[in-house]
Amino acid sequence: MNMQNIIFTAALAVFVSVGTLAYGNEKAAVQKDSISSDRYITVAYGERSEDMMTGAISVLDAERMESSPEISLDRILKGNLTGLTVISSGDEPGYFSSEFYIRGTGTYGAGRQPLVLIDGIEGSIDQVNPGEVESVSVLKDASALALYGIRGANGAILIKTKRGTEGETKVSVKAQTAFLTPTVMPEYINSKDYLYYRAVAMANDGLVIPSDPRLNPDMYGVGNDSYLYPNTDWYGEMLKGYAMQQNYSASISGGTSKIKYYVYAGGVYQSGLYRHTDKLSYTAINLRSNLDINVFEHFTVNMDLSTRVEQRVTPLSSASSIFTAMSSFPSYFPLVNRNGTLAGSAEYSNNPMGLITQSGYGNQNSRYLLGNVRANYDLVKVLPGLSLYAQYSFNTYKHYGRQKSQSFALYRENLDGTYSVYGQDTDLSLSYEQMNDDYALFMLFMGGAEYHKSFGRHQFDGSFNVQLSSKEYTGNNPNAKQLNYFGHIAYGYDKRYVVELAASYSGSEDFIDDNRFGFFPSLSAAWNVSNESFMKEADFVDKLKLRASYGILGNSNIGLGRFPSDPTYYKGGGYYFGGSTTVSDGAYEGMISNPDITFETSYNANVGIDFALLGNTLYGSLDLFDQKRVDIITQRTATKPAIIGQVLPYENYGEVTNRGVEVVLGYKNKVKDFNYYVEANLSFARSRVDVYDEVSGLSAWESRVGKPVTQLWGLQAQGLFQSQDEIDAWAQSVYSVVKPGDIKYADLNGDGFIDDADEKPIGNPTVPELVGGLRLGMEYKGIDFSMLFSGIANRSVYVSNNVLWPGSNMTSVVEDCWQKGKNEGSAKYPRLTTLTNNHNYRENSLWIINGDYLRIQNVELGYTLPQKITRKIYIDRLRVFANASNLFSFDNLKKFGLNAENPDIGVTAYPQMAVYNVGLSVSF
Amino acid sequence: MRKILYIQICLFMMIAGLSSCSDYLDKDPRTDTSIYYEDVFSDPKLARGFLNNIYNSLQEGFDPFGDGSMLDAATDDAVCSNANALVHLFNNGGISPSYNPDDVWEHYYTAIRKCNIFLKELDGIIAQTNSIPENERDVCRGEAIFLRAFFHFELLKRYQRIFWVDEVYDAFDTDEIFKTEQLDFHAVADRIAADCDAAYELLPKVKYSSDAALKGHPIASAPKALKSRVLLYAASPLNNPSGDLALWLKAEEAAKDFLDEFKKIHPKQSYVGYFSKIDDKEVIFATGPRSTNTFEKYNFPVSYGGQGMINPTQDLVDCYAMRGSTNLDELTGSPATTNTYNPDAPYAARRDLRFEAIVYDSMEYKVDNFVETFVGGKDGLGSSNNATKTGYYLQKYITRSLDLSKDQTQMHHWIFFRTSEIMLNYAEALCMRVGADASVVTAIKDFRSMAGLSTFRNVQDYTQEEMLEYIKKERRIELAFEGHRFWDLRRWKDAETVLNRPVHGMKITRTQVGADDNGTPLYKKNYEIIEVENRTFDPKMYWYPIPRKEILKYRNAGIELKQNPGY
Repeated sequence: MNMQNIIFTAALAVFVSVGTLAYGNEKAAVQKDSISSDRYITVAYGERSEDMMTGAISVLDAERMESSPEISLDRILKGNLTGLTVISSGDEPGYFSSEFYIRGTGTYGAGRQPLVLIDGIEGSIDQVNPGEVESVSVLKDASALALYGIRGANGAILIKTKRGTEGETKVSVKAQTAFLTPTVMPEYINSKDYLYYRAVAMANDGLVIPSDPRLNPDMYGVGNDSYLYPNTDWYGEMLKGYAMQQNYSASISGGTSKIKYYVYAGGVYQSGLYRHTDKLSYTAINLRSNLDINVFEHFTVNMDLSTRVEQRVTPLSSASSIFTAMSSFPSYFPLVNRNGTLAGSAEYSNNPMGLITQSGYGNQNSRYLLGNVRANYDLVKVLPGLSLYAQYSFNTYKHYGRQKSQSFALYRENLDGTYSVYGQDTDLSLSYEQMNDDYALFMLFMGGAEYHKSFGRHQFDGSFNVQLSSKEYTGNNPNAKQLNYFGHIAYGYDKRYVVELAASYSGSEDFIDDNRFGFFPSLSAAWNVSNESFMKEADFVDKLKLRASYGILGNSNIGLGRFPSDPTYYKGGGYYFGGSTTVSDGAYEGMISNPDITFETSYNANVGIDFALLGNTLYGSLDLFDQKRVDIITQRTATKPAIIGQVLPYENYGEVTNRGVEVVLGYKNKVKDFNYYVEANLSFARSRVDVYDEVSGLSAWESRVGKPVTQLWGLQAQGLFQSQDEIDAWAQSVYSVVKPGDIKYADLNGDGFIDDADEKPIGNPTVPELVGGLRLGMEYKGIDFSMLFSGIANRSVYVSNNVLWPGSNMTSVVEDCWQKGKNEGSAKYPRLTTLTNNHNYRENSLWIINGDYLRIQNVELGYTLPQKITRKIYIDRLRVFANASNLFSFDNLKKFGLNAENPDIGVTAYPQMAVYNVGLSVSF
Repeated sequence: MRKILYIQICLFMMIAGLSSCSDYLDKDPRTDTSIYYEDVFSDPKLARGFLNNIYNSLQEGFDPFGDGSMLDAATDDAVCSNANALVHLFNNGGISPSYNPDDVWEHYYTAIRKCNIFLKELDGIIAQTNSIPENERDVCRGEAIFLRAFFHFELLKRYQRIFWVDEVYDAFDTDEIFKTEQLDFHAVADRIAADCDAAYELLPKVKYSSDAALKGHPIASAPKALKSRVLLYAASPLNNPSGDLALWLKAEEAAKDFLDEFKKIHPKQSYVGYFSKIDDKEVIFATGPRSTNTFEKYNFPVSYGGQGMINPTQDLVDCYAMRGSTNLDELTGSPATTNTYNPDAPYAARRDLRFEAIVYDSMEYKVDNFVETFVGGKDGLGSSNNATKTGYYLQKYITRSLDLSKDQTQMHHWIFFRTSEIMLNYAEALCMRVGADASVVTAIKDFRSMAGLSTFRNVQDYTQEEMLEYIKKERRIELAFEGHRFWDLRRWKDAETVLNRPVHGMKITRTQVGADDNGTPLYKKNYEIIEVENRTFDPKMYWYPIPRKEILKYRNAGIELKQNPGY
């Protein structure tokens, strides 16, 4: 627990020192932003007043983020942003990651993820502390994304950090502490039952059951020697019930007409769930300084510098191997042997206790540094409203680690009291060895001109920009480069009509000659109906705005590999001639290149309506979108003959249509001191493959055309075989020898074989078609309460772990497995086996399960002390709060002990954690 | 005026910015270490390296499916104890156009493309840059031509009607690719034979690759051996239903041509010893030797740290005659009919020395450590998932002394061609053409002398059928587990009968019959031949199906490929 003290001291030190420096500015006059009372929205490369907005953007602001106790920003976004799907992996401390989908999936190409930009430069969403974030915007339509051109088609997530505003210095300090528990964990059966069912499985396989009494279920649970006949609950023994989290931050912000500043320090600490070791923790410290300096008249400089320092301490065995071990190591082996040694055998060598305590440990460190300098000069003398700017940004990370390794012996106590030994113990290695070394440097240089001006009823907004960006990493051709010329012109008339033309001419190094650059224009318009004179009568309408956009975007992300247009050969792949122990020289051809390869193109249309009624109490928006992605990067393996003899080239071939609707509906009101609100968002996106590399004349169920991009395919189970006669009369499986109790599949094409050609679409896509959130909150005399539900629907998951596939371990599912003379009429799952059964255990309708969920994502209760009390101790605002996340989930997988978001977590990966957090925030 | 000047300056700066960026996206030559086509063939190491790389496409038969099984477990010679092994699909008719575990269509066409690229550049960039000196280019050309012919043969014996590919296809010119015609068996066989002749002229004319550096490379004998094999297949009943003797004559001549030039008699003292180490006296072409223990791990009996995967059948065991058998009756009959055979100790009397290929009950596997395949024994039937199903384990290729717990390894190579095969090819072709002639007897005597067997005595006149049966049996024993029988049964058209009946094993049960003076129990063993697996062979399985996805691709382009009958 030393680390948290260090963090807290560091945070305090920063806060005190910067606070002292800033003291001189405290007397600065309080000035509100005098230009406009409009709400400004973060858009691509800037901000825009709400009146001038034409695109589809959803925004999550800091206030709402604060109601989540999660320390990783990606998890906070769930349910909060219309059109954004977030699917997270497990919550291993320091290894938070998520997949993002904006408006579902618009391509089956390998590059499907949206751009993630931190203050305009590419970065990892984990490198910011949620506490320093002002807003997260999700850019969805062609108008919003136009400036990203060749990289815009998958959407963008913009993270904007907080900045200072002119006015009194504000100091905020926040301290939080939480405990975390796994949301759901599988429950395996005890050793007696396991051995009983294992014997059933062996009998099914025609195997002789060894006479070893340690494999006899009757010896268990009847008070026999607990070292020879144990029932070890590996999860219970290896895991604590909860882990801890600490989260501290301090910020100072303010400014004068000369300088505005925002300084932030934040530290988080998380411990892990493992017992018997202290080697699982995560510490991350963020520092940030965002400065806006008015150097001289009309010349401003923004200078941001931020860093994150992370340290993870883990056992050398990964969380996935430890969880895999806990979920598969036999419960009929003791926690430790009678003589204190670790239990195991040749077959069972992954003892969880050994992996946690005696595999060694590693320190995995990460350092991030992000810098941003922008100089802006207003050319008031030339043309009021015109300014020139130049910007340089970089974002770099270095991941590196040190490890000490160790191995352990396993002992199996024999019936005669002797021990059989497997493997050997070694001491922790003396030297620290390097591990996971990795670095990258993103650089961005841009410059251009901007123009913002209003004349009477006319409003202009425009820009022209050039941007060079690169990512540098180790290896050949270390700089991955992109080039973008972009600009926009928006014109608003009388706050009623807005029309905008935006375009990008951008290119990627991955393409050559005429295929390198693309022109990506978009045209959009908005009509603020409520500002029309004829709406004056309808005073219940506060806002009514219609929006429409159409444009072209690109996707240059080809997935793995670079330079698909260059023929590439490789060194290596030699041969061992003459009994030599050294390999000869070798060289070989890589994938066939395609000089004509180019980016994917997306034609995006969007229409929307925003409204606010009844004194802004009832508000909402509705968006309809239609995206057509063409030139999807495909390898035409289904139609080009194999006699070509090489991995086929990338070609621009496929097409996908993606359509959907997004709705936001909210109501907020006030009854005397009682404020309350409720806001729901729901997004639906359905993709449809229009062109796919497949041959003509496929059976309807085989063709991908017409199906969603991430549709699952599998065999259709039609119950279980009850007898050999039934098997003989049925189509033959090509997967393995079929016995009674195995799954009976539909032979869809009637060719007498059950094979891959009988696979059909089963269930829903893996990326949900429906995603939404519901937030409600209230505030009464300083007491505030909020609650967020999040959910996904129209989604399937393929479950392939031992919770449903009894083998290395078994859950109560085993009772539903076919057993002759017991439950053959009612059994749902196939017979037990100790072999790998490729017939039963493959994608089919039994294992493809509805992956929808509705979850209580966050709940928060807070109390802000009345100012008249806190002012006495010079505190502007003092709030105490308790919040929680991942509280409860309604889904179809919970009954198996699985998490619907990701059914492997908790079984072969670290589980998802519910966070219960209390905190205090003070601002001066 | 000033305003305009400012604007002009701005515009000028922007345009300057634009033009200076135009090559920003090009690869930076300072950090570009990509290897391009020209780099490969103009570099002495890489040009030759490109040829070397092709050898990796040669497929060893030790573990073709990655699950420990061998193709021999799809014949009456063996059973694979791994219930999940893909090889079982051959035994229960599980091969379909959409699924075939031995579908090598793509694999070999990938290998063939490499040969064609190399051959193209041998006269192109390599010749222009002299990256391979002119005096070495012929050998390289011979190797590439031989390998290409060998890869085509591997496809031909499986799929019957294939594409002969001798050019490098442009992946974008699909019209041109679809124009390549599917050829029938004999058209391809003739091209392979022609390429073999061409390769023979180019490759080093040495008797056997005594030069260590040559090991793994084909020498002049290799294309001759391939030619013998392909013409034997072409003459065999499957591909010669009318029994055209001209085809047999070609097969006979090809074999004789080889033997005249390359036969060298080296009687073997130990059959198994020959395969468990690298001995090149008889080897014509094999993979480059590697030190491994994968095969041992798969095939050591289960109590010795192995997985006991390949279990020879009783049917094969019954083929091994008692040692000293010299006439055809004894050699073709079951050993059980011989008077030296003891049904209570079936492995006690000495057998044909090639019986060393089999591990049987009570054999001393390691010093003072005996194999127990009886029911209840440590290696016995049903004692674990992978314990023997037949009562036997495999010995051929295996070094018993390896300590697997210490991960000890031994040199292994997979032999594609050895002289014995060509001698048997010759005997078979000759017998088919001239009947039970004295010349056939001579050929058999030659073979037996090579194999280190007792002399063959032709005590009476035998018919052509009897003689042929003996040659087939000799081939089964001599070439057991070398990947031949699977194909031999097909080309002989014997598979419908031989592979359509159960295979057998030996179930040994042990009963105690008292004890000796020290109280050690005495046992009596009872031997019972049991059915192990029922096998089915549908006539369509004489050929592999051409993969469905290829059929569909051609159909999509308006071309109907000739699928093999029955699929």
